[in-house]
Amino acid sequence: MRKGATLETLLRRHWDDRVIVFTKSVEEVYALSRRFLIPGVTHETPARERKEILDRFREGRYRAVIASDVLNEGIDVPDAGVAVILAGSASRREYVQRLGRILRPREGKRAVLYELVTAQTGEEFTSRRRKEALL
Amino acid sequence: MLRNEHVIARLNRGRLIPHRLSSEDPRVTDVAGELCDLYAAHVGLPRSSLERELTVREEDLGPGLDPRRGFKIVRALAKLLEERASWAAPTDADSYTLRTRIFELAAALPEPPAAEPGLLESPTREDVLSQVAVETGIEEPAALMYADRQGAQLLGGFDRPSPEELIRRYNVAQIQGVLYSARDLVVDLGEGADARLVFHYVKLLGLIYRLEPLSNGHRLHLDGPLSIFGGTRKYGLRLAKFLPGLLMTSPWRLSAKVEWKGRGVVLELDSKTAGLESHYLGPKDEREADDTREAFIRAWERAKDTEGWELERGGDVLAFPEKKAALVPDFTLRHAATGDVVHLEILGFWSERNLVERVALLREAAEQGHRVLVAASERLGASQEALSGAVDGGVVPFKDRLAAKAVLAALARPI
Repeated sequence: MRKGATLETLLRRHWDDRVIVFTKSVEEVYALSRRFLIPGVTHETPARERKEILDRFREGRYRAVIASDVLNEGIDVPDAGVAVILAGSASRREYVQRLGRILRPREGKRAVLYELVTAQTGEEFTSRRRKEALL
Repeated sequence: MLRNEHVIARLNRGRLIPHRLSSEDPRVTDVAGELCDLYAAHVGLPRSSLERELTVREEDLGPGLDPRRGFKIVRALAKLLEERASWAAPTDADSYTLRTRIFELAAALPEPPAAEPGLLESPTREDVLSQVAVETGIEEPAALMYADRQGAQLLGGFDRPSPEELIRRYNVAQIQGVLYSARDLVVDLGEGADARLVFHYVKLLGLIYRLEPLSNGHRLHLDGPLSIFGGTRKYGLRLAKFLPGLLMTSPWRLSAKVEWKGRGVVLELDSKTAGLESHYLGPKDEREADDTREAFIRAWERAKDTEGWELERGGDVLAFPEKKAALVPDFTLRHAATGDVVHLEILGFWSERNLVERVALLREAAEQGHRVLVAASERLGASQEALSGAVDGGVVPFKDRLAAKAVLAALARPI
């Protein structure tokens, strides 16, 4: 999985910046959580555990969280310095919303968003369309 | 039991014909057999892989059964096999504690745990996991991190039916599915039918009934989930569970008014032509024992002083032919000294109409010299007021369990 290798590089680069990783697939959340030993949050995560994970992330006790679409709406998402989107089929609205809610740069810092796209697939097109939505 | 989405039926001149499979048809027995094989082969394996396999089977096997609804039939058969499966957690370890510890240790590292050991002695994933392994005594913590997910549950046991057994169960389950949306159900029990057995299931399931003596048997009216207020899904399941009980005896004729795709239609069955077979084992099976009544017997036995009253099991029909009505008391209370006899019935679910009718019947019984008490649970009825209004008419209210004391107090009240 090349995306996994890239994600590893990004985690290494931003280990002190609080990273939220998004993916569409619940199974991928668990696979990546096992691989990188960072907490995963999905619709299956019990509410108490989800709160605990997000609280710890906010306090800086956890450096990164990997989430499926559950963080889109209705949950108090902590600020993050870096967001990584593993290409999925998120709509423009979701995309803008994620960015607006998550990336709040702290003073003197830049917020960064990465989108991991597999070359020569439909993902490239989706990604381009999303960026247009931001202009 | 099937879910609504599995229920298939067609209409023929206002009569509803639930879907059936034939065990004479080799295509059907092949599919049923293959699904049984699939479950049996999965013992010891996780739920997620079984679910994946089932999705594949729906697409592979479905169209051969029926081009349009085949996938639904396969899904329904699998749902019935699910009832014969038992699932177990894959480990005694507490996965939540395990993964939380892993995340804490990993987050405390100065850099992300590396997948492979590098030249610079940077901390690796393996370091974290072996530390947790030492702390917890669990050899492979990574494998059990998410063992509490439903998909990770292992198929612990599977009570394998024959393909024919599964098909028989399917044919009954489709009719049961139609009864989830019944308005009411009328059963004419012939003289040869085992009425006691039928009443056992009426009472076990707490159904709202009205009984009418016929010259050659009994007519049993059961309220359907659509005619009672609130809790209809639960009640609908209960009514559906009555059918296999009825199938254990004969002769009978059944007619139910049901709602089908927004229309009121009729379902008719009779024991001669139904060709259906029950999967119940009868009241002797402990899963079919009547807990409410057994609990009252125990409460009575534990009571210190029953003021001379002795409790016996009832079960005989108390008929009032002029009123075209009958009761099936659960118990008979006999006073050792005076020889007085009082009947006691414990209601299951009840509706206001049903309670009013019951009180009228108690009055009728009293005029004929029969004293009858009826106990009704506050939790299983429509309105608190209806219940308190009925107390004067001989109704004993209770919450979860009927106490001997409440019955003794009602016995002491002047008639």
